[in-house]
Amino acid sequence: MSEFTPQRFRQQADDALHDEVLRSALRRATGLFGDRRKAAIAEVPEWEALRERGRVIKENVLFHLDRYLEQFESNARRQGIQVHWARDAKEACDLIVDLAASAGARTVVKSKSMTTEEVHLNAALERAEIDPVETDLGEWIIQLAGEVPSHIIVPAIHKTKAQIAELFTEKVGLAPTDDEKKLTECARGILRSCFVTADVGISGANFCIAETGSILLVENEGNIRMTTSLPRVHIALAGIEKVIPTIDDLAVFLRLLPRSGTGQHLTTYQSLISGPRRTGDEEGPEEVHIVLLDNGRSAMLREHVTRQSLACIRCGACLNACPVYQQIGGHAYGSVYPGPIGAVITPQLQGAKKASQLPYASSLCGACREVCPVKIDIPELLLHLRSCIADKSPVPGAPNDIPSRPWPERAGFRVWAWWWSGPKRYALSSWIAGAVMRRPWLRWLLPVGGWTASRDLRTPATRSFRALWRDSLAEERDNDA
Amino acid sequence: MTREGARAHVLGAIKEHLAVAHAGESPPEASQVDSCGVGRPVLPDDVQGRAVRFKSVLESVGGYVTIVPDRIQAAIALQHIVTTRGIRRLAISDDNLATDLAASLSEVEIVGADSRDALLESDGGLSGAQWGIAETGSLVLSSDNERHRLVSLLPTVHVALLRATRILGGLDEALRRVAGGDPEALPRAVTFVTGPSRTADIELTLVVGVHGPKELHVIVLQEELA
Ligand code: SF4
Repeated sequence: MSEFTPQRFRQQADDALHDEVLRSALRRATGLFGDRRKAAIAEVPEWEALRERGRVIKENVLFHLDRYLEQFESNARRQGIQVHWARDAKEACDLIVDLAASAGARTVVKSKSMTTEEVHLNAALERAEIDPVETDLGEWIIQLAGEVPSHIIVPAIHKTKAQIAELFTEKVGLAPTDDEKKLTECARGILRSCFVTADVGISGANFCIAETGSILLVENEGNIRMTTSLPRVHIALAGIEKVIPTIDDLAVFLRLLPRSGTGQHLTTYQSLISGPRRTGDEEGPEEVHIVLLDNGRSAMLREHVTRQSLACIRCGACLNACPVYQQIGGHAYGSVYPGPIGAVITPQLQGAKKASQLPYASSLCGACREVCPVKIDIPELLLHLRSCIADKSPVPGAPNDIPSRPWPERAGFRVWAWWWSGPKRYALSSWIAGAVMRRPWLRWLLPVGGWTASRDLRTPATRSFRALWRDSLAEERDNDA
Repeated sequence: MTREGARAHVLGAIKEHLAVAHAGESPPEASQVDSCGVGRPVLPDDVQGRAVRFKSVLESVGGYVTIVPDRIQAAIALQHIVTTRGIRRLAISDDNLATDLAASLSEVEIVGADSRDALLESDGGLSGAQWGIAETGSLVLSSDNERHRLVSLLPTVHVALLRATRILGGLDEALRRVAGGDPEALPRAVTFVTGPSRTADIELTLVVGVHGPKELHVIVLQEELA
């Protein structure tokens, strides 16, 4: 398995562009989800008001995040949930490994959680000789194949049914089949026995509700319900940004999230969990733990522009809408978080040096902002990060590790900025450019090789707009006179 | 650093960064309007209308809904499901109505929902439901009222009994009802169920019954119970 990293974005994007199987799968998936989303939001006449409400709730909660986290913590504790804090990925992994080990776990069942992927929890568990089993069908396929997810809603979108069937034959001995029902049935059987024997279940959390101290999880398969109700111990890992104030707010997000993600009016299951079993008579785990993870998030709170990144509810709509993602898919980004939201979160979490190419993986068309259920201004964030990278100013959350651009480039841009800031100088340069470009045999003088490799350079008009404007003003004056 | 240290560190970092934000920005206007009803569709305000809407929304995502006038008809509907689906072992929750109706069934073994092994070997699971939601066609199952978590999850077919008067309008109303005016005392586990378990992880083709039940049947009882 080749490692995908954000540093190798260009190469990975190029590989993806040459992968016809991947591209046709992406066309289908992004097209389908895009269409379903449109149909689902058309049912809601107040969609725009709903988005605005979602945005306002998130903006408020993030502006007072410390308060809401403290409220969540004390309510969760009162309900019998054990709350833990982790500053970074390592601390989160150590904590969870310790909890699993003291529960005597040999196998843990996991339901899909991007946050556990962000901290590389599976590797940490394996080092401690605890076997993590992914139970979301798509995630399980990916785990069997030793790969990483390529879409946040459909992790195995890059694999065909034939490839999955082959994988099942090789890894779990299923007789060759081309029936997705048989494949699913096979996974159901194997994972059932894991659920029953596992000592610990690990999940993420879609929302942590401050006023009740509960967590809410959404899903379609039922594996989250299994993970959170069968094993003796349940551990949930949540980023600190997952907290929302009230149960009323939950209604807003439950109307926004599934419609934006899969185009459903509601996913099949929501589990609202408010603690472990209290009496011997009840069902459910004896212990419930929540680990609240910072890992670079707190620094994003500092400025309004970056704080927005924390409003994301991970619906995946911006991926499906993004013309770049539609072509290259998730692997190219080399990050747990792909697509437009990944391009803004990854540099803030991993450092701008590692992920300096990602904010450029966008044409700034604004489709992501259009579809985002909480109205995150992703293009603004992309521009902000680009300017941080160009100025070598620190990206919040990440270490200040951006290498300077070479000095001739910086000097060149400074001269250019000065030159174009005067109207005479600007006019002179556009006159020169026009004169050169109208003479094809002189075009080689212009340093635009990269630009013209795949498209023609337009020939400028003989007279500039400014000149025409001047003339028309003069003409008007003459007429008035 | 100690674990307590991590807490202080994370909260300290948040406070420090927010202090900068608070110094430079005016606080976002906290919306005072109670707008959790935003996006709620226009819903029927009578019991019958809500039951009909509940049925049509749930059936649009693959659930089966039978609306019956009374207990006798409910028992017949239940027997019909058991027979046509070939259910041989039915696990029942500790819900009273479920227990009562199950007693009238024939040609099926009834087991309690308290044994995990029995549940794993049951092909049917019968539960009550505390509320329904007309907006989304959802069932709301609460651990305070019955032991519902596994009986509605492990067997291949889940049958739920729901009283029509318990069908609420919007999702927001259901969440409020769950909180019951006392958000500090929520039930351990509240499960919202809208259709059979499903996945589209293999080439986006819909398959039902991946981990949870392959079929969801709801019997809506119109009769007001004593
Ligand atoms: S940024 Fe917005 S659209 Fe993208 S995943 Fe997050 S919430 Fe969804």
